Amino acid sequence: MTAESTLCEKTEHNEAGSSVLKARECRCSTLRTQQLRQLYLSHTPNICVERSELVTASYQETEAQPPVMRQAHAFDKVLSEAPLWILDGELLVGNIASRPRGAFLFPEFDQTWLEGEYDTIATREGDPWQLSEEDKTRLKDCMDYWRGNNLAAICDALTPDLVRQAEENTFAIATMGKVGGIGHVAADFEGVLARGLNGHIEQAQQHLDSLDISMPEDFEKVHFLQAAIIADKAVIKWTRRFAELALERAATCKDQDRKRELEEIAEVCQWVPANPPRSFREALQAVEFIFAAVQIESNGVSIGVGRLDQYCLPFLQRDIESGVITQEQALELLECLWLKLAESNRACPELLTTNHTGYPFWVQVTIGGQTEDGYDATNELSYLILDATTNMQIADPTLSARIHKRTPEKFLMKCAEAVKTHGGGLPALFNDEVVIPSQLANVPGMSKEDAYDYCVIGCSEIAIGGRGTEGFAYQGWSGGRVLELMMAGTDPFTGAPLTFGVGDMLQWKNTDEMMQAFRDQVRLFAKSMFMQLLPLLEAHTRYTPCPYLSSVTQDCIGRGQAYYEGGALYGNGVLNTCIVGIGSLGNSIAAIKKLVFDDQVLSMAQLKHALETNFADGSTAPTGAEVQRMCLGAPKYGNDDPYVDNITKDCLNTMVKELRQYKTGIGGRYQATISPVSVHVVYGMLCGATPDGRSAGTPLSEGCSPAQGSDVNGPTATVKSVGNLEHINLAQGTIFNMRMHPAAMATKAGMMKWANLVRTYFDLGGWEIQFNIVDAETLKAAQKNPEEYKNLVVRVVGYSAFFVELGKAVQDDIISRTEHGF
Amino acid sequence: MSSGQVFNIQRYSMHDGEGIRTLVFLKGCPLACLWCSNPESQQIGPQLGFIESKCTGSESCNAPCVPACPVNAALYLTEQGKPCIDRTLCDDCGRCAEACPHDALKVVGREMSVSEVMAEVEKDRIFYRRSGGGVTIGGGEPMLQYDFATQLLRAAQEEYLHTALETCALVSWEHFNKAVQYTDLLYIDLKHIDSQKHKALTGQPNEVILNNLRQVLSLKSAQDVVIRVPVIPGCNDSVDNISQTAKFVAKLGFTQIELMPYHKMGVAKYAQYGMTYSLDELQATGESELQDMRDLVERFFDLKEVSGLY
Repeated sequence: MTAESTLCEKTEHNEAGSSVLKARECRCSTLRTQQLRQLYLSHTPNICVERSELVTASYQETEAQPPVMRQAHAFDKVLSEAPLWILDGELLVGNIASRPRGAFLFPEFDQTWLEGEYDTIATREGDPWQLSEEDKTRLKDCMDYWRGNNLAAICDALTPDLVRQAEENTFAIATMGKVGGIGHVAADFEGVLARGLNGHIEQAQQHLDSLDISMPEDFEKVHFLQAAIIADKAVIKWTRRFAELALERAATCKDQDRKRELEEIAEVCQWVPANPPRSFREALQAVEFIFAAVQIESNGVSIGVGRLDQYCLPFLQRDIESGVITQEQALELLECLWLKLAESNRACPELLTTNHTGYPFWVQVTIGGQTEDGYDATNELSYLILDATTNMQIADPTLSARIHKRTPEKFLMKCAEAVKTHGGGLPALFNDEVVIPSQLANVPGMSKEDAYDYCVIGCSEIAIGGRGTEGFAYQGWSGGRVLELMMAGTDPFTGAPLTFGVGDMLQWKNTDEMMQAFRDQVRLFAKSMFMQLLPLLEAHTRYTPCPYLSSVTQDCIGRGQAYYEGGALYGNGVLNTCIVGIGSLGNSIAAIKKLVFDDQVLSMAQLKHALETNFADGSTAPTGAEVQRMCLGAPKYGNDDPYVDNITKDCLNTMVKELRQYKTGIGGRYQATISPVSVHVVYGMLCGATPDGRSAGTPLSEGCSPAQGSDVNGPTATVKSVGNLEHINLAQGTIFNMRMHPAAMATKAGMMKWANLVRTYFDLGGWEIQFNIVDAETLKAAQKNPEEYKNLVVRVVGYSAFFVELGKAVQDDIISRTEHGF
Repeated sequence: MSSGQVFNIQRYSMHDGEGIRTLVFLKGCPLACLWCSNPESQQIGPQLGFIESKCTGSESCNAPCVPACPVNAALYLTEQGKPCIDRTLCDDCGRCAEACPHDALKVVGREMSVSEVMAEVEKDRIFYRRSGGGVTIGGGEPMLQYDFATQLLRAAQEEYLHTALETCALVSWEHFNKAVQYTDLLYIDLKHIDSQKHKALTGQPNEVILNNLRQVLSLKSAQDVVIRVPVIPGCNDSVDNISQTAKFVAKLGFTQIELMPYHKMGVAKYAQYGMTYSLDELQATGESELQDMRDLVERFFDLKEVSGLY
């Protein structure tokens, strides 16, 4: 196969005279990656049953052994026996399941959720999965062994009644922690590339040999170290199965070019990750293997790749200097890696699918930033990685660029190009100047050098690659539920009393009393959530210690302890809660203050009745609709209005400070993030009408962005409002999604204004910003639902108008021009 | 006079000077260009508009706009259950707009003091600092309220903000030169070089404008003035007009010109404000014709790049 370029870049002028890139069908740098990408997109996500059967068989054989050994043996069995594949044209190999775009299930964590969904999973609306009748039977056959005998069951057994009741009341949703393993991590890629898994095995063996097992503290380490050796050897065995498969294929391959490629694959897979890579290609192959094996073991979500442009750079530089590889070949290899990472897939219960549709896995790659000594770390590989992401046009891996005060303008502008071309929000931009001090201030024991070496995982969360992170925990804390608790203490849909504290808004005589009610509920809420977390932590530590992931995390082998036992350097530094709907919360409290206490245009009883009737009672004076209009007219977060922006800030600070009081047994601290994926939709469905004028069941505000369509003063006002929050307090970060029309970035001047907007948000103390480039679909939606898109502004010289106010003909014209790439 | 009529203050304006800017639109204009994309800016006083796309009809909201109208019969419902404004009776008081739950009715234009405008402008100072932006006064035609505009420009300069002015320069030199003294970057429109045709297209002859153009470089350096020509098909896009215009301004010593392509973004506003648009059948200037004009003009000038929407 030739490395012929199929890049078909075309520049045209639009009617407004600006020069823009036309939408391009294919961007892959070579025919090979283009074809592999098409193949990837043609595969339907499907459930692979082999892991369930192999794990079940293994666990049945190891009942008397400690959990860490049972997990290691099961891992070994899966990697030794599960089917492998190599696709035509692939240069990098590695499977995350038995078929392309397949997903394994994890019965030892939880597979029982499937029991109610066997017949709907293939046809459900959000993220369906193919599952044959035969495979259903095979899965059902495994299930008897696991009922009441998996991680989820152990979590349930450990959960106190109060928390169980709170869960039934859909307070805090922690499903991810029950059905999934350690996620939101990045392995120690740098360490494995330096020493190979053989080096890790050797270190574990030496530690094992040095133990005095007559000493209880040494005896406790034996099984973990043994399990780590089994697990690492299993990975080597697995990668050598790929070498054998490649040789088998090569033996029958007629195409001489491909035959040679297959032989190379065999050679590479024979060598890495057992040994340190000898080339850039071997480094990328090792990364894929190390990464995929974590997922096969731990069933976590949001497993990251870390700072790929840092730890792979020496291999690239060496190969380029010695002429082993060209920039173009390096880019093709990155594109191949992107397609392997994109295969990461995880089958979820339907409820979780509502939280995040589109088969997301959030494989994060981090680029740019600083070295541990504070030098700019941007390099040629950072730029190549941006190209790979722009070229591949796939959702995973997601890309995050670290921006700091001395980030070269050229790099930021290259990011701008990528944002514009990619359209889907990549790369997201992270602010070193806030993320780093936030880690130092909030993560126990964090060193300056490690803080400078952070990488992004999940959406906005932070890991110190290979040294530990938040792990499994992902609890959701809905601002909407806090409101309901403080206002009434009952579920607005069922009237059933909520768990604790009966709030009563009619008792508040002034704003101070309202804020006291808020603080009271926050205190109770945080406590119940931590009570929910402790059993999860206990269950994971004891039952699913993940020996392989631990072995590739510093300093588990050195300490002889698994990840959650305290082996990871910062493994328990962060337990994470996701605060959802902060904009809706701030707006609601501001609306009560404004309408009831400050302006006194509405009585509390009138407001309460209007909320209980979802603004639909036309018999009252004012009518429900009129009350809703008053509520909608109250100040809204996102418009640079200190009245509501400061209330929102205070609410968030109260919640975060409350969380911080809680510590785990080994010193982990409770932290927060605002990165709700689409959890705000789910929590919105569960939430009645709110005083900000939001109707019952509609979405809460997303991330730390303003409530949908409520920011009408343009991007600088929104940036100032969002920048007013104390992002530095949220050690796991915030997500700020901003909409931008491609025409705003059409010229160099437009791009520079964009860059200035980003830099200013970071000056204000923002954590992360990402851009959704407005497409024709968005504009069509705005035509249909003008209320939700009233903030879309049309800017032409000396002219201003909101998109939704334009006539249909003009709207159609803009839509068609947007469709054609402007 | 320390207050004036403002119809919009738009932050993060992209195309009205260097950097990130706040664009203050003053209301009222001595011209009525056939292609005007801000027709609601022409009249100086407040004006009621009806945005039909936002109106959900009386069935969903019971049309509180109708009883809110203090002038009998100025606002009535059509058969489709949507409000219709009798412009001969309506006095733009805006009570109906206050009653509308969907902001389908709205009044544009309000009186603001210099300090109120400056408070809005100050809000984005942090963005100006980064990007080298500032405030731009536009319209309407800001020179119709020359005192107010001059005070705004002066107040901004006193606060060390970069100032720009977008004007058609139809104002006496005596007033114009005061405003220009407080302006860092000046945009002057020249819609047609021939006075009679200028009058036919805009309602006013161009002598005063040309006179101001002849004098303005005595106050400003050419690098701080941009001549803007809206290119309107069939109105002023003849090779003759464009080359005459280019020659005239080049001879005066101007060095920067912007050709602004015709667009129809404002068409829908005419109906919203009870006005009629007379250029309905006009098609946008073709790309090749526009390129010819650019080539023509570039012989004389540093042609500024004009970017598109949003």
